[in-house]
Amino acid sequence: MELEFERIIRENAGVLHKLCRIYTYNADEYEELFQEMLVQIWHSTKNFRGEAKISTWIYQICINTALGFQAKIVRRKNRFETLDGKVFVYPATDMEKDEKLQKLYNAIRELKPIDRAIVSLYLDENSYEETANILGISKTNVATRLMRLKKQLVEKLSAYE
Amino acid sequence: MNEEELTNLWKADQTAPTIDFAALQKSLNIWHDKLRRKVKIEIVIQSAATAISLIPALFLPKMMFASLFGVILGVWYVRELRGLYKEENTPNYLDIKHSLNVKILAFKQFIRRTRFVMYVFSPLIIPALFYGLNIFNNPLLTTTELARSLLIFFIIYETLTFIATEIYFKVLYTPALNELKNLLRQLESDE
Repeated sequence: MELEFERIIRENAGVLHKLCRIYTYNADEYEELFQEMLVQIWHSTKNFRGEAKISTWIYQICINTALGFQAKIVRRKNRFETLDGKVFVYPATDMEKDEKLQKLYNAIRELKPIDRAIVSLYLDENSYEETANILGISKTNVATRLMRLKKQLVEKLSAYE
Repeated sequence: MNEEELTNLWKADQTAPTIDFAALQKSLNIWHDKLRRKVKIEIVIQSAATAISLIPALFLPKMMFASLFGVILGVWYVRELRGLYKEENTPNYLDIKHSLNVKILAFKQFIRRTRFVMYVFSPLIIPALFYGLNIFNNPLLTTTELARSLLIFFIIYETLTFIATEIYFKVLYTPALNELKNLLRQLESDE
């Protein structure tokens, strides 16, 4: 299980990182959410039976954890159980590229929590069907919302420029 | 910036934290051991609390019921609180809508059960205390006076318990429950 867990995390560290960036506002929150996602994936590995795609399963765990973080459940839960020590190093940033990215992340952070999940799934090129499966809503709902969200996002980014 | 640039910028972000897997595995093992140790510690604390609460019963044997009652309430509450955050009760590997519904249900059940125990079950500690302090056998009190004082104590207890419990929920649990409901509403809004 340890090797499998390591492989899953290595392959999906980017997804965790992006979700943490759009659901947190500072380094402390980022660290707390990232560690909680690691714990949740580790804890849920035994429940993964391969019925769903591994990426779908990862998104479900990470978005659920991020929403739990949003509802301040994670912090309350961590009174009972928390991970000791620093287990990761935050990536060094490319300043020029990061300025543009920062604007993008800021624009996404201004959206409602559920909409942030939909946008990140879209930007990670998940199909409407995959997004609908991850969220538990209909494909039509995903399509309708994405149309509105893409427009909103482009407007927000234009306003920054 | 158009949609395509947006997607390209997102995809170009290949950064991710460098994870120290040896340290992570060690931390996870410690975390797991800590959880198991906590369950053991909890059992020891509960046993000690039971023993301590039974001490008054050594001097006032009739206090046994009230003491045991207090211990049962304490043990029940600690278990209930731990259960609220247990992974098995609020799994994260379900789709978001399903998982939000499960979490909301867990919170509602926790609040409902705590209310029931606090308002219906816990007031029974009053007759237990009356019995423990031998008030029922007090020859100076008539049955009417006894019934009246029991009623007054019940009313005072219920009022204070109600205020304390509702403030406790309002401060600690209602905000989280409302946020979960809000997230579910957001998810279902365009359906």
